[in-house]
Amino acid sequence: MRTSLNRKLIRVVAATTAAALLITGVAMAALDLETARRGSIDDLTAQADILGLAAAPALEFDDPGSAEDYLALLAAKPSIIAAAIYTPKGALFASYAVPGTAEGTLPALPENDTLRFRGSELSLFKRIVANGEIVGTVYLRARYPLYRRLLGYLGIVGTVMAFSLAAALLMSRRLQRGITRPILAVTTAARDVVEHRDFGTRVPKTTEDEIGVLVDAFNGMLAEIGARTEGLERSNRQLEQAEERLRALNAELEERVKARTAELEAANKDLEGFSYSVSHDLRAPIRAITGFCSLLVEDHAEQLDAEARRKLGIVKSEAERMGALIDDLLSFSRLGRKALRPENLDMTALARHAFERLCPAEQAGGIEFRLGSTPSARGDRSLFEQVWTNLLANAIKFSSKKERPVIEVAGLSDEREHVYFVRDNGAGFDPQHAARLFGVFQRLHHDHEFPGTGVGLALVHKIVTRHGGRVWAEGRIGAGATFHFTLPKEPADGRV
Amino acid sequence: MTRALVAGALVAAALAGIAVVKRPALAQTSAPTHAPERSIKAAYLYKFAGYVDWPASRFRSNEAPILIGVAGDAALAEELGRISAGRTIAGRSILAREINADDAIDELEVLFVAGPDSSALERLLAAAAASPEAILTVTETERLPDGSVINFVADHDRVRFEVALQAAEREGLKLNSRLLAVASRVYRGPAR
Repeated sequence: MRTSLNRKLIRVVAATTAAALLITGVAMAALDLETARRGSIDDLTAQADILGLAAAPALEFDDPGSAEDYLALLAAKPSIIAAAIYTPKGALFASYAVPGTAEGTLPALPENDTLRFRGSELSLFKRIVANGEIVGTVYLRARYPLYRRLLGYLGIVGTVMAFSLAAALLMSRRLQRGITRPILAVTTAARDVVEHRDFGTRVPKTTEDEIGVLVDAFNGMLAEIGARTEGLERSNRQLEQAEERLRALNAELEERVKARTAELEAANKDLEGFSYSVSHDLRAPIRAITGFCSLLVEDHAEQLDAEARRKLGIVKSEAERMGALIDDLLSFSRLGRKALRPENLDMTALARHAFERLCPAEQAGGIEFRLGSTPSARGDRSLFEQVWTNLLANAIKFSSKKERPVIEVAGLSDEREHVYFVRDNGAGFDPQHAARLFGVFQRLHHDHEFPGTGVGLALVHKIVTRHGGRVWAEGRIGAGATFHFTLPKEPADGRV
Repeated sequence: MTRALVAGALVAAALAGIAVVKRPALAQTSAPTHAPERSIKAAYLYKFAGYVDWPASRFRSNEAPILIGVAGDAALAEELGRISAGRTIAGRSILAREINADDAIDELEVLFVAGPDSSALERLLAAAAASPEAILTVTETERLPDGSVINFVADHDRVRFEVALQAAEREGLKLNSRLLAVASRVYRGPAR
């Protein structure tokens, strides 16, 4: 199978072999040419020397004929195309030329020992020395087919290269299968895994080399992935089951909540009914008691003495107290079930109205009412009317004994909440018992000191906490009390 | 009769005239006043030494000089002395000497007898032949005399020479074949 890997390997082999052959070929060509050049020079020089020695006597004894005879022998060496011998004075003594070549091309004058390459010819001058004297000069000109030789050599090199390359490629194709086959096996397996997600595939290990390591690693990875996938699938299934169970549980809870809510609503309804009947039914006898007490006092005044009248008064006031307690209890219990209707409240106005209701102008009785600015807030109007009423009533009650009662009301806001306070300079209370102040029916004073049911502050506490605020009080015995309450800027109503 | 005598005289005169006409070259050699020819012959005399092998015993040492004796041409002797001054042949220096007809010639390696055939020439050649030493005898006669190894001949304007191998052999000399190649004529047997 022809893959890019195979092609790459073949390309590598081809490139490296070609490079090696090319370098070798070029080097050998250069070497050969140089050797041939040397050879030609040496050959021609030797020829000139021999000719020179042979022709020396002819020169010495002035026998050109004999010199020409020697030169004629050069016909045996067809590469020599022209030759000449010159006398020591530079005159042409004897010459030879291959028939066909221009004879006029012989140089007119000899030169000192020189060697010259011109085109495809090599020519040289060599002086003839005998007994330490120059007796003449030999000139030889030979054919030197450099380019033909070069081309011929390159042709051979090229042919050899082509054959070598072909042989190398053939061999490499055979041998590289040993490398590419295992790699292709891994590739095929990888593709398989990707397509079919079959992590059970394994590649057979056929070699012990790096490819064998690769195969082992690949198989190991597949095993790992297979195990991981299995594990993931298992946990997925488990998750799904857990989800199912959760959903079932949720549904169950929903059902339970619904049932409870229904139960609670039923209970509320019952309570509603109960408190209504309590108030209604309980109030009737109380009214009867108080009514008949009054009647008794009115109608039978002459039959009753002062003591009797006093006792009847006690009965009446106690009955009234019971009625008040019942009312308060009723409000308290209703409060817990009532839905809040929040609106923007002008707290200053509310406080003022509450005070005016409690202490109409004519009965002010010298109470100094200092109403400062209070921030407006969101809350249930009727409930906060109650809050102000209760707090101010408390303040009025407990400062009434003072000569100059002073009641202060003010408020401010910080980042999170609005803070209001009602301060009086009345009897105060023992701060140790501050916690009991806001409990139901908790009274820190006796009823004969300060009358009350003990529910008022509990109501305030409940209302404020239902709006998400806090209530607290500070005071000292005989030095007055200050009642604070806060309201969050974002009312946390909605709590049913 | 008179007519035959006159004819004979005329023929003799003609022959003499031809001989005279033929002689001019030799006439020049017999009275060698022609400078270039003299120089050439002087040069050849020492150059010959380069192509001749004397017997090994001839020289006392490797540095022993080659003695060339010149008889009958003082100018040539002088010329020879001049041109051979710094030269060597086969590493040996060359000494030129003027010789008279009756001088001892045993020391000479080369003996040149100038001039045409004469009794002096015959005597010198005989002395050379009789000498136990190998002597290269050079002459310049019309015909190569007996006992002469090399004889200068005129060839138009050029100085050539003939070689007698038998004479060389008798003297005990070995002549280089390259010398023979440039000789105009080589006598293997007797010259006549």
